[in-house]
Amino acid sequence: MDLEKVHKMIEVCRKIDKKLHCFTTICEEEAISQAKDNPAGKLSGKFFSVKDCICVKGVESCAGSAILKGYRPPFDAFSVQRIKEEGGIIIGKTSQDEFGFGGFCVNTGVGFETPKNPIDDTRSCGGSSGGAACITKALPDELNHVALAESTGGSIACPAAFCGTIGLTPTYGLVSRWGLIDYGNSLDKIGPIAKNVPDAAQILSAIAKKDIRDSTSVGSDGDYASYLGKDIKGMKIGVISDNLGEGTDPAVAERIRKAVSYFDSTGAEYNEISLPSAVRYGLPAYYIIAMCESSTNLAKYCGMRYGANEKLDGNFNEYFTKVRSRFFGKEAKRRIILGTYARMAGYRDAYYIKAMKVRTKVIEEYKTALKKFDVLLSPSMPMVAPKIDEIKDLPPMRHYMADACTAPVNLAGLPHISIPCGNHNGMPVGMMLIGDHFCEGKLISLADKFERDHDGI
Amino acid sequence: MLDKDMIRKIAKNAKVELTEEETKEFLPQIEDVLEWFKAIENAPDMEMSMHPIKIRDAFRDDIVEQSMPKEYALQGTDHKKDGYFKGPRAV
Repeated sequence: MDLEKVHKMIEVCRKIDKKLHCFTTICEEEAISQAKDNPAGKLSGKFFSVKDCICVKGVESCAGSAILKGYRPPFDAFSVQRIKEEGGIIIGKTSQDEFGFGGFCVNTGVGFETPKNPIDDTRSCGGSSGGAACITKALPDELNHVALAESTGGSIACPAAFCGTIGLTPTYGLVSRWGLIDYGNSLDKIGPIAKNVPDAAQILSAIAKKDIRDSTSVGSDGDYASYLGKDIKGMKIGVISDNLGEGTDPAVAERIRKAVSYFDSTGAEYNEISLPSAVRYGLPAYYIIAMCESSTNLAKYCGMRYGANEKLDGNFNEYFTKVRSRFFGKEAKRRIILGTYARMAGYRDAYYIKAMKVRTKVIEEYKTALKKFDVLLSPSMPMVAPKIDEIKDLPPMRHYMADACTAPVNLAGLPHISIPCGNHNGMPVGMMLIGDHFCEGKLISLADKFERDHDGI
Repeated sequence: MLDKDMIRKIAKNAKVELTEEETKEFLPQIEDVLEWFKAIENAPDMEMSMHPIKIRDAFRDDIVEQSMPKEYALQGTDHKKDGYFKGPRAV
């Protein structure tokens, strides 16, 4: 790639970052070195930002946490490796809630800045892949950028909705998690946040490959771009009525209903559907599993082998406690306590085991609905991006409740895409299309058709 | 029963020390969340799903392969000695 283009891209990113804090690291040196010796591939000419929790060789990768400050992985995550093999250039790591613990990107780690929404910088850019959506929206089209993001319970759909971008969360297992700094191993998915559906489809084709280093990797050799430009006549859409009533901003519900009318006018068929188990149990079951898995995953950070460390004083209990207490942020500590409690003898069956049984029920309910419909449709988030000042001091429960539309879908590992479908108070509204496992193609066909007919939304 | 002592005990097990202020702040928040978690009590009992999709066992031959060079593994820490990680004392 022309080095001038790389310099220009870095300069623009620095300028945006100064105002919006969307990067944790901008890696100019690595980008230039990559551009000098870049293989020709399907992603040649494209720039990529990578969420901080996805490892990039030699580039500080912290998952937004002070406890990993200084960690430069000696390897690329599988998805990053695939991007490099196809000629994409990595420009930096994007801001996120610490380890992904949040939906508004206000739970950043100790010493990290809060990223802001590029449309209105007093508002949240969503989380946890907030920096990814922020830079995707803020960069001009001609700079040809796509973000590699990650979702555990809605961390791709939420920021995509708040910033007015496309967010494609693949089926659990479609993209290898090798090299991902994990949050919840049975929930984490890597996927793109992009300016348009064709970009998202192209990136998914590049990264959705089987990887023997991740035992849950299923992969695919599918060309997701082949689902673009399809006729959607006769496709059946189930509109999740539970997500359009109480708890959802009526203005958001109204934009969603307008989008449903559009699909109706194209010859796609729709019906409303209720998913009582997903609505009633999906959100708490998701949080129990996510907290149990994350509290286990965080046990390995102890200031010894990588990341932040202290002087080796005291015995191992004292040393590890000192490092962890100093470098974990509040939400990480809260989730460690909750996750540890829910796994303790005497409580494990009631919380962790029961939540995994509930997951079976929720999957079954979605699967039954997806036998009747090609896709399900819902708002991505029940509101538009809120003001940062209004949410940063809200109790954690209020934050968790905001994931009502996305968490049950993520609990079930179903693919979903968030696409902008209008505005309210100048802020974008996100519509979420949900498909059956490994049916990303249908989502791409519908989202692409909607995007082409709603240019500029 | 969750109280301040229980939170301190869990924190100690998880090797995190909470300040008095954090303990005071977390207690009602954690109580709220645990109360909310009870919503799943009435859900039907089914088989557990450890993962959202069926995972096939990924067996491979037990062959020694080249692993990460030692210097790579050690490059992320100041705490090393003679080609090994150096940790805090055990007791």
